[in-house]
Amino acid sequence: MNFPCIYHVYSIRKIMFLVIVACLPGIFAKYYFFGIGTLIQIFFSIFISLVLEIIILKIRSKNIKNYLQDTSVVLTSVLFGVSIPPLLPWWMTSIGLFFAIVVAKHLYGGIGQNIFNPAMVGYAVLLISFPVYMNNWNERDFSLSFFNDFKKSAYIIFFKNDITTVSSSYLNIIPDAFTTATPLNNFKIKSHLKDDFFLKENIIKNKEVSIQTSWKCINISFFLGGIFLLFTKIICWRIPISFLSSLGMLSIITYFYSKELFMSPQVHFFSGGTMICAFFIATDPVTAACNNVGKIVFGIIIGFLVWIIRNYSDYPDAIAFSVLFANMTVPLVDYYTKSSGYGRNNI
Amino acid sequence: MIGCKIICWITKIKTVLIAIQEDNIQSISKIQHLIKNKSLFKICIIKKKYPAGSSKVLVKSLTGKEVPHGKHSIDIGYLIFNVATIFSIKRAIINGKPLTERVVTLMSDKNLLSGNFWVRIGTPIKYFLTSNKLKQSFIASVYLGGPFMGKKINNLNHSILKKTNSIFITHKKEKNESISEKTCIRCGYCSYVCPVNLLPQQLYWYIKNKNHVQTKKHYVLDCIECKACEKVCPSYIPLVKYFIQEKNILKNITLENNRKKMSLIRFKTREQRLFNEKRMIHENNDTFLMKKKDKKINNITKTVLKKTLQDAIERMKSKQ
Repeated sequence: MNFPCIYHVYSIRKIMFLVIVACLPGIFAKYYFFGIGTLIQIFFSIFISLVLEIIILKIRSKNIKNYLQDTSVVLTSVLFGVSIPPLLPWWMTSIGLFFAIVVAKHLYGGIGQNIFNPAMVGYAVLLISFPVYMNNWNERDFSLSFFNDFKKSAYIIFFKNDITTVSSSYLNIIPDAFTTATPLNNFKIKSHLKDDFFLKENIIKNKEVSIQTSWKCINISFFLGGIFLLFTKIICWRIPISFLSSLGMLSIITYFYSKELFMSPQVHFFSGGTMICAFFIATDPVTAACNNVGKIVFGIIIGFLVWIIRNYSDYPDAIAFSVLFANMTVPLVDYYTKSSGYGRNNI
Repeated sequence: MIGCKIICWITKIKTVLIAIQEDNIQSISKIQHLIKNKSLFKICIIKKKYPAGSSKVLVKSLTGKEVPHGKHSIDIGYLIFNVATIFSIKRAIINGKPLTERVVTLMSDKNLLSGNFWVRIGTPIKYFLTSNKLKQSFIASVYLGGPFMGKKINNLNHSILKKTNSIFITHKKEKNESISEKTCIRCGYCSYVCPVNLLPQQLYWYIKNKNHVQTKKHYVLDCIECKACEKVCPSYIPLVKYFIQEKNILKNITLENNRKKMSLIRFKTREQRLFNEKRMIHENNDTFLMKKKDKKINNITKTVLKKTLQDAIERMKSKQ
């Protein structure tokens, strides 16, 4: 059955390892712009996810060695750690990981049998339960040295978790508000407060430029990692291209309709988590559609939902919810889009 | 060449396509030299991709048409022959020799002895290996067929038949014996590789759930068992084993359904026969016929009643 001279090209371990390697430029960019909190979060989440996995496998009485050999837990924890803000308290990340690994993965049957993307389930739980903390994207203070930065962020993450200390220690300009610092959040604020627009506009402008470049660089680095994955043929090209094209088409059409009500396609593509979603989260093989036409439909659904939620709801970044909704529709899409087979007169 | 001409004379075929792989440049040049002035033959060059040699895939790649399900390629109008059969036809008709020997290719994973040999049909494989100076102690296992679709032989006294194309030898012990089957991660690599446009991933999940209706809808019966999907699977799942089992189960299900239909038909004819016998017996009796007559009378009264009612309604309408 299996011949030694003809080796399998990819095993599960290799696939996960290559995906993590493709994540590295994005992680580095995030560390550069948001401080060492990101790295602390990632290592901490890897540690906690391994602990949780071992505990739940023992409860389910499965062979630990076989199930830890495919290192899929590490990948979910890395993706989770990359998507959460860098100064989240440690008990929040552990709650999120508990929901991601125990509830969304093992209680649905283990690897290969889960319907929902586990990293996104954990992110959505945290986003709904702790909205203030999750919108707290603090910039890196470049004046601090490496060691001081490490000390400060570790202190915030592990010991003192109040929101006031977090905001005031980094931003010395205004003690209240304005820790919400992504361009998507700024768009939300503009669309909701139309009266105090001009007062805060100047302050927004100074911050906005620096924030946009940071998010731009992060998204570009994830894009490069995604292209690496496409060339090694680990992920299918249909999902990212259909997602990006549907989002781009909708944003281009509506942007030319009215520039004030809608965001430009550049903002859509290069802010928030679009690139990481397109290449790493939506292409998760367990939860995406399986045949070619189904994959295109899946990408279109995600793009459409992302556009709607970003424009017409209160949440600034909509990746988690749209991915979860699309995961729900996957069995139906799979049922109705079949392959044509051979010799059946199916055109 | 001459064998092809013989077949063309028998079956009145107009063109002959010779399919050769990209790699064999020498053979391509030689055949081109031979074919120069004759309009009957054409050369088609095929890419070196597995499985380019199976009949269904060949027909589609050379002509663009697909063999319909349950039929052979001759129903579209194409005949496919192996080189060995044509050569033996020529030898039988022109040289007068029966089929006593054929060409067998020997492949091994260490690039030791590999090549084409003339072998007489019926030689045991032991003799064949020892005559080519391959020590039995070094050989781990022998397979009849190629590396993908070969079947393992345990007894080395097995003889070479007229249908064995090649023999494949492995020297090392298979280290993949220790690798066990893991869970499917739904990556979809198997469906990229399938030459017949199937979805092995969906078939695997439906087989695990014993959903025989859906496996039939996803065309299990079209699988050519080339094992390309198994080679690509990152979880080392033996897919073709499941498909072969599923094909047997579907066969049994169709047999049982046919039997049920036949038994239904038999039951109905038996009932009809008994009813007719009863009628013949009771033909003279009045009771049997009376029942039938009552039915007729009832029908007649019903129609008469209807007519009177309709006339009354029309009269009422005309009055108003």
